[in-house]
Amino acid sequence: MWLQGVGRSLLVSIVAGMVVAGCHTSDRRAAIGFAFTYHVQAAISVASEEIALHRQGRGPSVAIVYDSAVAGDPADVEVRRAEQLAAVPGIVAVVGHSGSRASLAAAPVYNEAGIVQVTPNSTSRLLDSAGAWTFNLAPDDSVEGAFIAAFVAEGLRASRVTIFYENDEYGTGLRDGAVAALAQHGVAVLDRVPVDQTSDFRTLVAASLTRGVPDVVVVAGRQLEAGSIARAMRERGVPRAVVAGDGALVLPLLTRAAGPAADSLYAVAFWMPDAPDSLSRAFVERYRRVAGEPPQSVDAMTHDALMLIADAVRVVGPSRAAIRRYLRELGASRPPYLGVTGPISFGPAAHPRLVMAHVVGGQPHRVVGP
Amino acid sequence: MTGGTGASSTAGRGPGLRFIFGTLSALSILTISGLSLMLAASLLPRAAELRQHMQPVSYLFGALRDRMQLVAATVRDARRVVAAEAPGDAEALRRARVALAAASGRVAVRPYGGVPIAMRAALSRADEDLTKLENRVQEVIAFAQLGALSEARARMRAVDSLDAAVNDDFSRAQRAGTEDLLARQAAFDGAARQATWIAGVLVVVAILLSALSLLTLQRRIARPLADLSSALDRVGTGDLTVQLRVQRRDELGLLAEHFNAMTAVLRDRAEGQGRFAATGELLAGIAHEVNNPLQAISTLAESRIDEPAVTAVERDDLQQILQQARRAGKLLNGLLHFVRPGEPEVTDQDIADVVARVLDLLSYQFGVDEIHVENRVAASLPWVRGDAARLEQIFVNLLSNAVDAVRGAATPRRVTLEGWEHEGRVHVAVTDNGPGIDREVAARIFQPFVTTKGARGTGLGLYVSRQLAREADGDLQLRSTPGEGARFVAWFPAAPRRGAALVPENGQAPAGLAGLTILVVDDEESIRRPLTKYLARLGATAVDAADGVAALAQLRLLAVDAILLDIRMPRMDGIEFYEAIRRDRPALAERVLFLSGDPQQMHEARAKTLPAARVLAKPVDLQVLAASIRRLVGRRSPA
Repeated sequence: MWLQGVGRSLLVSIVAGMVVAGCHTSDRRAAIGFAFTYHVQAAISVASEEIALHRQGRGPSVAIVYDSAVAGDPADVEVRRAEQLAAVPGIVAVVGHSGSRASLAAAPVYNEAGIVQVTPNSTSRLLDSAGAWTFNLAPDDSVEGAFIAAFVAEGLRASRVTIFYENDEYGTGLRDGAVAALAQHGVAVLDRVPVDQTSDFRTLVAASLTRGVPDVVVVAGRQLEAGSIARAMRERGVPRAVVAGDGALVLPLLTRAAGPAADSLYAVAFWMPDAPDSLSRAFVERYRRVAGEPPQSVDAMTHDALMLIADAVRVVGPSRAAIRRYLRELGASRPPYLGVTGPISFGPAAHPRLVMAHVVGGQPHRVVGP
Repeated sequence: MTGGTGASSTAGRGPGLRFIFGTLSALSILTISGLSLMLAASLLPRAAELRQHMQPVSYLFGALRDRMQLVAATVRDARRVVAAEAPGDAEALRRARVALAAASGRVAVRPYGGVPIAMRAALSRADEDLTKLENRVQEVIAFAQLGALSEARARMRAVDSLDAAVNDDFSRAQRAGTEDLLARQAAFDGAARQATWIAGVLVVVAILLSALSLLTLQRRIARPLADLSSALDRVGTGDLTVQLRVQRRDELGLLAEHFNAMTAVLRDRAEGQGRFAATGELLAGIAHEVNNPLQAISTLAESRIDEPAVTAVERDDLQQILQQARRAGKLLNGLLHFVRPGEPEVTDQDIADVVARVLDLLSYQFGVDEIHVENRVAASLPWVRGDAARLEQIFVNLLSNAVDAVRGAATPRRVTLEGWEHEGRVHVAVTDNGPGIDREVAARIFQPFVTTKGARGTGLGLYVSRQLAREADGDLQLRSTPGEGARFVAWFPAAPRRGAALVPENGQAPAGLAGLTILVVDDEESIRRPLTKYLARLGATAVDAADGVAALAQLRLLAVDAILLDIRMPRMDGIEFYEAIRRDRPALAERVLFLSGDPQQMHEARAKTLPAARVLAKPVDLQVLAASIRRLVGRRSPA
C-alpha cells in the first residue's frame, strides 16, 4: 500500500504548470516556486488574482511555478522537486514543501542556491537549523505541543493521556513538545504509540488500553490517524476526546476516518474561516467563489506565503538578495506583513496565532484562540 | 665637472639595475605566490568539499546505524515473544517497547547539503522502511500483548520482509556513499596530480628564472664590480692610466664613467703635483745656495753696524742691506716651506703669524694687480692647533681666489683679513670686493670640481681647504651676498695655551756671551768668519770648523759651551756630527743650535732625530742667535 502511495506521488509530482499573474511584457520578471499538495490549488488561484490586482504600472510581473505533490512523497522525490524548481529561470523564492519532512529534505537545495524557502505549515523545530533562507510561517512543534498540553490540562481537565504519534519529523516533534508541556501541567502520559497510515489502529488502541485508560487521547499525526484512533476508541467502548495537531484538520477526510466518533475530535488550526477580521472575510469570500467551499487553515497559510513573496517582489524588486533582506527585516526595521492569518514576521518578533477547533457536525468550531 | 670618457658615448641605454632587480623580485614573488595560490586553489576547495561532504555522510550513516541496531534488538525480542507457545511475559514485552520508543524519532534525514542524491534517496528509503518496521513491530507487540499470537506471527512475517528491505536500503546507501566518496577522492587525486604537474612546471620555470637571474647578475653586476675592483687596485699601485669600459648607461655604467673621470682628474693632478714637487726640489737647492750668501751678507752687515768707525750714512746703508737680506731670506724660507711641506706636524700655531707668512708669499701678486690688502688679524689672538703648512695652504687658497675674484673688478680692489675669537674658536675671514658668488654656485662651492675659473681652475681648492680646516677640527664657510663680494670664514678651536718657542722673537735685546766658548761649524768661510767675529764682540771665545770631522777634532782639544752647526756640509754633515756627539757626549749634544739654509730638510728621514726647536733658518738674525745661545746654556739676558 505504501509503495502504491509512492508511485502515485511520483506520478503526480511530474505534473507541473505555470500560473502567470499580470504577465505583461516586462524586463523585470520574478517566478515564485510552489511545491505543495495539489488540494490547495484554489488558494493559488486566489493568490494569483490578488497579485495581478495589486501589480502597479510597470512593476515586476510575478509568475507562480507550481509542482504539485501528495502528502507522503519520499525525501528523494522532494529533493528532486526542489532541484527542478531551483533551476527555473527567474525563480526568487519557493513556497513549500508540504509538511516538515518534505520541507527539511528540500531546504538544503534552496539554501545553497540562495533562494528563499517559505514553509506554510511545517512545524518541525529542525527547520530552525535548516538554513538561513528557510522561513516558517507556522509555529514550531514545541509551541504547538505546549498549546495542546494547555488545552488538555485546562480545557479538558485531563490528568492522564495516551499519545499516538506519526513516526516522522512532524509526529515525533509534536510528541516531544506535548510530552514536555504535559509534564509541566502535571498530566501523566500513560503510553506513547507510533503509528502510520497503514497501522492496525484497533489492535494498537486495544493494546494501549491494557496499559492504562486515559482521560484524553493526543494524536500527533494527520487526519487518517486521528480519525481512525478516535473511531477505534469509540469501538472499544472508551469514548474519549481526541486532540490532534494541525496536520489532522483536513476536512472532510478527518470526519470520514472518524465516522461516528467525529464529534470527539479536537484539532489545532493556525486560522479559522470564521475569523472576524476584514482580511479573513475577504479571503473567504474570494475562496468560496473559486472553490465553492470555505477555505481551511492550510489554504490561508499557503495564500499568505504566496502573497508575502509577491509583496516582497513588488517592494524590493525581483532579486533573491533583496527578498532575503526584506524577509529578515520584517518585524524589525520593516513592519510585519499583514496576512489573512495575521501579522507575519520572523525571528523573536513573530507572534504565531493558534486556534483549537472542535469538530461538530463535520465543521470546525473555535473553542480556544483569537 | 670632468666629462666622461669616449667609451661612455657608445654605451647602450639598457634597463637600469633597479628595473632588473625589480623585475627579478617581481618574477620571484609571482612564481612563489603563483605556486602557492595554484596549490591552494587546486587542493583547498577539493579538500574542503571532501571534508564538508564527509561530515553529513558520516553523521547520517551513524544515526541510521544506531537506529538499526536498536530496532534489530526489538525485532529479536519480538521474535522470541512470537516463538513462544503461550503469550510472552510482560517484562519481555515492556523491554521491547522501551527499545522501540528509544529507536523511534532517531530520524536520519537531516537538512544537510552536499549529500549525493542517490545516497540521500537510499538513506531516506532505509529511514522510512525503518519507521514502517518499528510500526509493524509495535503491532506485533500489541497482538502479543492481547494474546493473539497467530496474528502476531503473521505480522512478524511483514517485519522480516521489511527488515530485509531495510538492510538492502542501507547496503544501497553504503554503496552510493562509497561510490560518491571514491568519485570525490578520484577528483581530489586528479586535482593533486594536476597541481603536482603544474608545480613541477613552475619549479622548472623558477629554476630557469634563477639561472637567468644569476647570469644577469653575473653580467650586469658581478663582472663590472670585479672590473672596478681590479681598476681600483691598479690605481692603488699608482697606475692612473686605467680606464673602464662603459657598456651600459645603468648605475654601474655611471659609476664607471665617474671612475674614469676621477682617474683623469687624478692623472692631471699627479702631473701637476709632479711638476710642483720638482719645483720644490729645485727651490730647495736654490734656497740653500742663496741663504748662505744671505747669511754672510746679513752677518757682515750686522757686525759692521755697531763698529765705531762706521759713519751714520754707512750705518743706514748697512741697515738697508741687513733688512733686505733678512726679507729675502724670510721670503725664500716661506716659499720653501709652502712647496715642500714635509710630514704634517700638529703643534700650537700663531694664526696671525700664519696669515702674515701667507701675505708675504703673495705680496708680489697683490702689488702687480693693484690690490689693497688690509690685515686686521691681531697678534694677540689665541693660538690654534694644526700643521703650519696646511694652515698656510688654506689661506693661500682663499687669498688666491680673492685675487682672482677682484682682478677683473674695477679699482679700488680690496681684500680684507679679519680675525676674532668667539666661544673658544678663532675665526679668520677673507673678504673681497669682487663680483661675489651666484647663489646656485654658492650651494655647491665646496664640492669637488666646482669652479668659477673655467679651464684655469681645478675646482679642488675650496674643497681641499675645507677638508684641511675640518682636519684641524675647524671648518670653512662661505658668507656671501651676490654682487657684494665674497666672504670666507675659517675657524679653528683655540689652543689651550699659547705656544712657546725656544727661539726668541726679533727685537729682543742683544745677549751677552762673555766667558762662553762657542764652536761654529759651517763649510762656508763667508759665514764662519763674520759669525765668529760677531760672537767675539759679544764676549764669547769663538772657534770654528769647516765640517764635522774638523769639529770633532776641535772638541778633543777644547771644552765648548755651545755649538752652532750647519747641516749640509762635505765629509761629515751636521746630522752625522750630531749623532756622533749625542752618542759620545750627550750633555754637549743638548747645547747644539742648528743653522739650515733649507729648513725643510728637517723633515727628511735622516733628520728625524734633530730637535726642531733648536733649528734656526738662514739667514738668521744675529740678536736672535745670541739670545738662543744664552737660553741654551742657561744664562739670563744682561740687564
